[in-house]
Amino acid sequence: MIIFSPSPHIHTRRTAAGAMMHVIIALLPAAFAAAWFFGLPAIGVMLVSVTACVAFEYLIARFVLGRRRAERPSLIAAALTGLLLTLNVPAGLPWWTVLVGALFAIGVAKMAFGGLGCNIFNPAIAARVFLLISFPALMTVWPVPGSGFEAVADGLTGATPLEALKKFGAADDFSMFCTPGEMFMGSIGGSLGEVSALALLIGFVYLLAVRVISWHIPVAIIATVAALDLLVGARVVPNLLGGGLLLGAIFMATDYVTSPMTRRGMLIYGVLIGVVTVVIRQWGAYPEGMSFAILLGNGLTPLINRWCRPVRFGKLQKEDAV
Amino acid sequence: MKTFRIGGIHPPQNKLTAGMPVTVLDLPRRVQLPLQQHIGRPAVPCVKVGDTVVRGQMVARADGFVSAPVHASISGRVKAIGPIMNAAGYSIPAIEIEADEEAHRADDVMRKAQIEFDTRPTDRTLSERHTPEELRRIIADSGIVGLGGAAFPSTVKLSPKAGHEPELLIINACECEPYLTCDDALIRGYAPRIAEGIELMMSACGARRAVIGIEDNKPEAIAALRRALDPAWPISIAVLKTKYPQGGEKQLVEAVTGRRIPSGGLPSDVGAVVNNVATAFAVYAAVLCGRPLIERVITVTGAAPVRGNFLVAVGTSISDVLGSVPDDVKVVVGGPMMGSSAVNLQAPVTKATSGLLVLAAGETRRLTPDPCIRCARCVEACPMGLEPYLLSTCGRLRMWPEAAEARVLDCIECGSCSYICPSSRPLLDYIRTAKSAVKTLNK
Repeated sequence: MIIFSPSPHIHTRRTAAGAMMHVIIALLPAAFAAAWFFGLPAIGVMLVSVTACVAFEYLIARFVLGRRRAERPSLIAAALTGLLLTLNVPAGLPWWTVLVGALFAIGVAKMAFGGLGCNIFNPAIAARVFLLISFPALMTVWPVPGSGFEAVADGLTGATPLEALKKFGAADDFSMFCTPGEMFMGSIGGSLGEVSALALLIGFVYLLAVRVISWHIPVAIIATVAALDLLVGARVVPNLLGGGLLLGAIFMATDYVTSPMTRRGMLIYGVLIGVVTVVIRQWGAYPEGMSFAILLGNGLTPLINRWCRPVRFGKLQKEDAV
Repeated sequence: MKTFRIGGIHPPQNKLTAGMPVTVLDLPRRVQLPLQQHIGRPAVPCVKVGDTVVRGQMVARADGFVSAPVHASISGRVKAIGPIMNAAGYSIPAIEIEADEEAHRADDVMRKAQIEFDTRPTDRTLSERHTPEELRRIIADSGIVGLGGAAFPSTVKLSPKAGHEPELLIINACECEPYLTCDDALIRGYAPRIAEGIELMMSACGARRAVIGIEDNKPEAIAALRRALDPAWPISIAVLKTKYPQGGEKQLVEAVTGRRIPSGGLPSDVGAVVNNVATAFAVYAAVLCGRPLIERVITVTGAAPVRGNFLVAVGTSISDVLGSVPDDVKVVVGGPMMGSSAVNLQAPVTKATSGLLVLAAGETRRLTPDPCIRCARCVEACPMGLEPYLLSTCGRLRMWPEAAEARVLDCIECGSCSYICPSSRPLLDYIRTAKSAVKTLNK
């Protein structure tokens, strides 16, 4: 039988599942850094989260939504959500809390809206914020980083650079707390995936090289935060390297589903996230503002899309639309 | 290097037949000549069943201005006038001619002599003997239509309204479709004749300058044109950065002139007229050699048994050109991006056929669509600055006013969105639905 179909007759080899695999690969340096500083249990938490998210995705698609199968890209997206979720929580978060987070990410933030491609909010961020509000104490216990895959044995906990900054203000005491070098390499307190700026930047370069994301959103966010920090007299380096900014800007805000479609929209979205982050960090109750800023940006994305249409080819000759 | 600015994609070029010269394919024993091989009204037969016709004789005349006559591409006897099945499977009226043995041999000899003549150096004095009106009449009577694929009657394009003469004639030699190399082969072999055709077209439409738009992936063709063109002539070459769909009329005009044709407009709105390079060659053959449009160069490529750039008589059946192909393949008439796939391989090659591409099942099978992940690849790829994901949703949900508002009629159906979609969504299928619905509503 001869094959017959409308044009085009060829198709790119790039797939949605492939793009998500690239993001997972780009997160591996950060995952490695998490294991290096917080010990092998960090890997355990990651595995629990990834497994739980994939399982929830499959079970909900199959038995709640009654779909005949769960598509491959949806399952890979769920794995990515699981990985991002653990990279956004402190090491030592109890496994059941991780499970609750995974259920919220997949069940509420994603599947309740219709599954892959239909969610308004980034599932991992939504789950992180849900956990932060539901279990504020557990979510702000920061183990002191060890090294060489060994956690600090006696379970010492400390503050994250941004918490310290909030406490000390711009005073010189902060310089005693941690150095830019430590923040860059990652031997600081914080969520699993956010501690090593170096690992995140390696991931960023990889994502740009394989053309999975463009520079617009991350650069708009980082540049806005840096500029505003200078303007309000906040410390720029810890704000850029010491918290969740890079993880959020590179991996969370760039989620295809929940970010704008045009380059102009992406820049506006990035600036917006940057502004909200700085406002929360400077004047809000939380030391960290990235998650809330991204959620707000996600919520505004449909409006940004409506406002920033692509540049059409050629002017309208006469207004004779139906 | 110049190119168009909005969108575009870079599919693998797969120009498997690049570098192959134009090869003359023997005349077939039988041709089917559809009465409508062009945009406009079908031609009206002017022969009867049983009539003897000679190669080049008009067998159907144009019906009005936007129409084109059809000429016999072999000598023989009119066997039938009636419906045949075209490549897509639809019934269309056609004239069938069966070869006469004696005349057939003579035709073959004559044809080879003509092709030999075409490769000789040019005689530029010939082109100064005709007035624009005469040129347009010859072009019309020779059945010349746009050979890039749309097959719009060339006389119409070359007949500007008084006072609206184009300042610039743009010759489309982009050949931006993957696989196709027929224009490339034609230019490499017959550049001086193409230059003559361009001059004739310029006189016909009153354009004072001409620019040949050609992509940088055809260095030999560019060199051949450079050799053929005298720097003193008002014909220049614009080498363009290879990007699909550069050969789209609006994209090409922008790439060459920087001007954007308005939505719903024509090249004449920005002072230009666009014609294909193979059309220029056809104009040369018609005006200077008295040969109507009865054959053209087509690329036979992909998994075809014999690949090449062949000079084929219009009306030759696809299977006569291709030879035998296996069952589990797709035969594309035209290029892989905008060509249509054939169900009937007994259907004839027409004036609009630029290539026959055989794709093995693995190269062309459509994948199961996954959910849209809003990656915006389609928005980035759309050369018209549209939002294919949105238009396709409008088409799927039958939201025609919304589709019209999002300028669905601007879509040129280049297929870049469907090509690039990482979720393999059939975006263009739905956009076509919306487009035809909006067109119907507008009437």
